[in-house]
Amino acid sequence: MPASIKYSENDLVVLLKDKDEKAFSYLYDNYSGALYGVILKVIPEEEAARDILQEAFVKIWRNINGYDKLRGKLFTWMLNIARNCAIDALRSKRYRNDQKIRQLDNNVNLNVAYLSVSQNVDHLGLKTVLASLNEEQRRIIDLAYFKGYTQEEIAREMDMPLGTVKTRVRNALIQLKDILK
Amino acid sequence: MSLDIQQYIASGIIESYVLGLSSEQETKDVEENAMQHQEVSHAIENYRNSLEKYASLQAVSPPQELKAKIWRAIQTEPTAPLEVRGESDAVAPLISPEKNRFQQTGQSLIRYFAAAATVLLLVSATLNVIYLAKYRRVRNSYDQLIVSRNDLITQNQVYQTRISQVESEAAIIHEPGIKPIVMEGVKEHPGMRATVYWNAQSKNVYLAVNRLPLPPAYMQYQLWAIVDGKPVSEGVFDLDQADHALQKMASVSNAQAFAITLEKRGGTVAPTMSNMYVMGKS
Repeated sequence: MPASIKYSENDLVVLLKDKDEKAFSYLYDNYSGALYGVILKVIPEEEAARDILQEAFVKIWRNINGYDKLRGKLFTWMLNIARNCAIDALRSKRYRNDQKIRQLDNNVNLNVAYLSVSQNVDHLGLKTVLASLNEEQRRIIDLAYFKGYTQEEIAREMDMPLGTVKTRVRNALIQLKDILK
Repeated sequence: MSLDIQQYIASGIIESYVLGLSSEQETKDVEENAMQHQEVSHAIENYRNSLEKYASLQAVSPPQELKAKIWRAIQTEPTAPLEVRGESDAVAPLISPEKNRFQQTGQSLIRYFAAAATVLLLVSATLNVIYLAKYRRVRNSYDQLIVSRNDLITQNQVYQTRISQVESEAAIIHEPGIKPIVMEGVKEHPGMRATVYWNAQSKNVYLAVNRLPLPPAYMQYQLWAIVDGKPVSEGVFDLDQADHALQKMASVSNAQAFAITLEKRGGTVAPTMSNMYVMGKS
């Protein structure tokens, strides 16, 4: 699927600001997987995740003029948009209600998204990373980065003192950085 | 690198910031420091890169048809008042290439559009009123539906619990090798009855009370297995469970008979024979 042309982030931003269809195509081909993966992390349910991916792309498209490269990479910016869309959806009442019905209907459904993750993931890379982080470190990163939990929420969720969260966060990130060097 | 900045970086604040965990004040602080010190902005950059790599490793290809669907949504979206912020951006490029043509046709076209727009606005305002009323009605019945649906969910959960309880009991009774031993009331307590389901292979013992009088609060029934002529305690039990619920009792491998006596709460080491209620041979 990768496009034959490769744009730099700078060129891509210029094309996007011109609302160029090729730019969308390139953007989608290169980033939709990562964004979709992030969304699925927050909401592991494919139908909802697809809607959120669409919402995220529309937002990216329409707010591209608000992107400022001095404040960070394009990818960071897009990732934040996708993540926030997903977190908003997760916290919205509608999704929670849907979720309740779904649990009654069929518990198996919830795992569908995880199944398809394994088909597309860079297996070796992810496995190495996951193996080098312990369960706690993975959860801290997932809760904070993907699900947007606050320190207090993490402390409650993981049943650890607030002061400990900070130390563990630091260790988890240092570990991740070392693995992905 | 100055010592202060080194300490600042080592304090863990940058990690909190990158993960979105820092407070408003801390966030401001980190961003100011990042502008002044390259070490700080580098540290931030490094962490962001790792997290992005981590996210990319978990990429999932969305279904193929989604790309075209999103492109369509992007093209139709600007007309929908979904988001105020991006609206002007989206409209601008649509108009600018067309500008020349509009100028040629002149003022009349603008007047025509203005009239059309006024009519549309009136129609839209009327529809708004109608739809608002409609919306309120629907909203009302929607809320009612939610309430009754939640009731149904609760009921459903109760039934599911019951079903699974019955299912697990049925599974126990149909376990291969299980043998029901009916204990009938002794002379002093005619008509009383309890059943032991005993699996001699797995040694599991389950008890179902069919009919026993409710004991006073300081007393409890105790099940006994008779092994080689001697009573072995199988444990005490209460009657407050659902009538036919199976209770798992102590395992026993070689029992010739089972019996139930009424003892002081907590049970005893040896059965009080005068308080025996039911008994059955295996």
